[in-house]
Amino acid sequence: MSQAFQELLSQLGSGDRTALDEMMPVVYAEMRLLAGGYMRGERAGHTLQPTALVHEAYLRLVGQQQVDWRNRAQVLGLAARMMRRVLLDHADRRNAAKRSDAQTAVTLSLAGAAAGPDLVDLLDLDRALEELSRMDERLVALVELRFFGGLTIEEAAAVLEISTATAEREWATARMWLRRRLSTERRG
Amino acid sequence: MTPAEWQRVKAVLHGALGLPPEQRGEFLDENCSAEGELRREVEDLLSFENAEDIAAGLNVTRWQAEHETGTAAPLADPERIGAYLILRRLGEGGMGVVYLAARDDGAYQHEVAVKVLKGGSQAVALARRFQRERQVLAGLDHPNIARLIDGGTTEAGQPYYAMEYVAGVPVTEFARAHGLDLRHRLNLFRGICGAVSSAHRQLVIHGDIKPANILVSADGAPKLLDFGLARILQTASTASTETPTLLLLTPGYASPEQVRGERLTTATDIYSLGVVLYELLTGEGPYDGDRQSPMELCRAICDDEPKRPSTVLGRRGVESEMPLTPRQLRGELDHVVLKTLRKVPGDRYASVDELRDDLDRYLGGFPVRAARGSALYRLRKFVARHRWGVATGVLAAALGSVAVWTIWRAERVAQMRFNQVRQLAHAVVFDLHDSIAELPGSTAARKLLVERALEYLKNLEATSTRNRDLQLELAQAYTKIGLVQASKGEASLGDFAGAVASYGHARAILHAVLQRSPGDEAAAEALVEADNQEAGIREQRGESREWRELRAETGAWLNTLSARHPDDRALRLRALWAEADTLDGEHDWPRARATFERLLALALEYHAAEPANDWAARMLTRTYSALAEVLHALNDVPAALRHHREALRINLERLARAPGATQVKFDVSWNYSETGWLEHERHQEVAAVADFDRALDLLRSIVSADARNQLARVEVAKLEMSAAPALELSGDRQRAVAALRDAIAIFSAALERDASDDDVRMHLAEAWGELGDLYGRIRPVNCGLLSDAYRRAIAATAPLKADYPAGAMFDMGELRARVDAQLNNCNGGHPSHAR
Repeated sequence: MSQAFQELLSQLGSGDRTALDEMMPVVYAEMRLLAGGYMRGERAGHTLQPTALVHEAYLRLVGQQQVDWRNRAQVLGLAARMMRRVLLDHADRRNAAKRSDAQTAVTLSLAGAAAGPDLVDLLDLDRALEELSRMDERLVALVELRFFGGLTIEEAAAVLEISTATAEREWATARMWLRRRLSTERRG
Repeated sequence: MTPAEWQRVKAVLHGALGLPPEQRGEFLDENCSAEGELRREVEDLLSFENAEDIAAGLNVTRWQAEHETGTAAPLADPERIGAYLILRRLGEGGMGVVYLAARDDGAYQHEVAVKVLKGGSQAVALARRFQRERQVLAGLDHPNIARLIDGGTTEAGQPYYAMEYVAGVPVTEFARAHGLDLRHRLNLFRGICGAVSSAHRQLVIHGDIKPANILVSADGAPKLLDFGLARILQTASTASTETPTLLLLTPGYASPEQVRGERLTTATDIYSLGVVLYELLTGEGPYDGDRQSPMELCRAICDDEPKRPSTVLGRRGVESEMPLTPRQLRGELDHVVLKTLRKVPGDRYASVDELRDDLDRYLGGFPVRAARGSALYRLRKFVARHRWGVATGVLAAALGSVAVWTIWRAERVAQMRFNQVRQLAHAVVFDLHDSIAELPGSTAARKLLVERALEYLKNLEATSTRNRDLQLELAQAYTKIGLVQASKGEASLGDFAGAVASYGHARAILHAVLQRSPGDEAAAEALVEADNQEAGIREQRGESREWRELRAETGAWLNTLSARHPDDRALRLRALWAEADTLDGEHDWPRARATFERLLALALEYHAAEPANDWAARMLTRTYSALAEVLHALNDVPAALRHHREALRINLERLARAPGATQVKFDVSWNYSETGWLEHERHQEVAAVADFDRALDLLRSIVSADARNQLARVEVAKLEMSAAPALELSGDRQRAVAALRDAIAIFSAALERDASDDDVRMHLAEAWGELGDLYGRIRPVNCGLLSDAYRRAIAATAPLKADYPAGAMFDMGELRARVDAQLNNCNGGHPSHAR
């Protein structure tokens, strides 16, 4: 781990929230590096787990040192947001490079779908989240933490500084909203 | 919708979510009857409430162009790969695509099989790893192993390798197609064993033995393919972020440790060979009967005992195409097959050769070895059966999902990290710690090390509460921490409260393990160790009830173990020691003496048989010393002194062999202090002072080498207290005062570090009391000094609990009475200040 990141982490530990903003480019770079490893030379149909990647990035950045769990959640949350950006960047670049292809989509499978891998276009999801953020930013943040970061309800609640019970209700709401939004997207 | 409107929707929605569906209608009636829009929105959203629909986490499945059908474009076969001309595609599997190819260098052409690996993101790591292993793999020269010829990276960056082309069919298919009888099947299998054994001798593990990798050519000779590649894949992937191994492995042939993502060993190959043998003998795999999904199969591999091959054949009866009968398999072959399939690697055959030997025995009509101990095994299985309960529950919860493979892989990633961290912790606790424990100056470093390791282990424990090995390591780590915190006679930080807590943790874990499997000897040993350590400090603190309980537990376990291993001398000595030590602690001198004398005879015998064995030597010295103390208690001072001197003589030999060893220095200094004290008792004050000085020199050398070694410091102080009377009576009153003052300074400093250390507090009080006594003997009496010393003695005892455990070294009440009496005698003092 870089010296700079270590310093940021200890600033975060002493309650300095701006440290998180300064971490952003470092985390983003790390995520891109990692994700790049996955994306290069991939065969179609290969499965990538953004959550695993986020945690991997976290481990690489923070290493084995002790981090207060609240700070851990903050950094993980940041990594989750960065993950969304990395995925989008990647999708954009692909689309730009392969405009000629009939369909070039980065698709997401919402793990746990009962009837088979439920594929969702990343750009669709992004548009949906964009729309949602105009009404409810906290809900979007929650989705990012859960979807892209794989944070548990408790961890996500800690990042957003809300109670676990609230986080649970919000999460249920977000899922309903997204499901409706994405299913109409496909129908329409 | 505006944010404000949305917030209203959410408020109603959250309210409804907290209610069972049948009550929601009423709730909505109450809360939004007037606003049709709001209610419609809430109800619409609720219609999408399906917890299973979107889980946390998502997978990005396709990174490349897709066709409208949503399936990936098949990759065109390359025309050549490296120096090889591709002739045709032979097949495609989880690992990659295999081509028949020819090396085309003009002069001669020979056919090879070229396998292009699905490298994924770790193609580079894989290729590098492959390069490193190539020589080893290419060196595998055995008629039943397909030779590795070449390897490299394709233009697209995928690793490939070329190996001897085998025109054959998988072994199970071959056996079926030719309707082989039992003897032929076994002989075929023996040939396979020969190949695996030869590779094992060259330290190469196959890692993915399965019928598809064992091809039999038309002439009936088996050839093993893909030797060593599973391990390369695994190692390459550990270095990277993703783990393809399980995706590539055929779960049906994977061993439990493989499913769990642990390191591959030769035992893994033995297991997979066993599955192949099972299939050769029964026509199906050991878990084929009732499994469905890969997840369930994995669970079965870890949890279920395979059915006996004979019963599988019997169950299918006449339908079976197998030309074998249940009767042929029943008994011996059942035993052989099941021994290869044991869950714990150590329970399987120790080597492939052993497995093959057993088959030879069977074919030769001799009883097989596997039959031995199998009743014992079943008994043990019975006890350990439920160990996997929790993990299974977790896996089962993950079932039913289409993302089985993904979850499985995530599990595996977690498992691999788990194992890495655990290996690290293990190395820290057991290797690193032990290797520096004897180094002077290492106390603080040891504490740091063990604490770190413990942290890792505790994190792991949270994820795997019933993993026995982990529990054992945790318990041992706690014991090590306790040892560093405080232990009798070893370098430590003198944190008694912490040590008691650590030993307590260790013991609680071990009790739980032993409750589940009472036959677990390693756990019993670990418990005895923790008990011993805790008993040592309980004794030091005078906590006799706890001490007695610990000794009783130790004695019981050691006797059980010793009864199970009657030939183990050390165990017998330890069991007897626990017995004698308990009698000693209970002040039953005559019986303690008899027991120690029995122990001494055994210890002498052991030491004579193994003079280089330091444990045996130390055991002997401890026995001499303990017996000496019993003799002392029985008022036979000359005999006691003789025994102490004998202990001293042997310990000096040990010190000569290991001059820097802290432990041995402690041992020798302790011997000197004992002889010094006995010399003092028989009024040989000069000899006493000489012995005390030797003891002090040794302890001080420990302190100067390791300033943090609190125990050695405190021991110095205690020794100075013991030496004071001899110093005084030898005529050197000044030194006696100085010794007591120094002791007081050390005790005070120790108390500042750990105010809860009652043992030190007692000693401090006693030292002040003795200093007061000493001042009282110096004429004319300086009542100022005297009363000051006594006041401090009283003050030191103040924080002690009134119910300080019985059996403590000093009698607090006696001290207070003595001090009061002395103060009253001192006319010039100010007894009124004493309280």
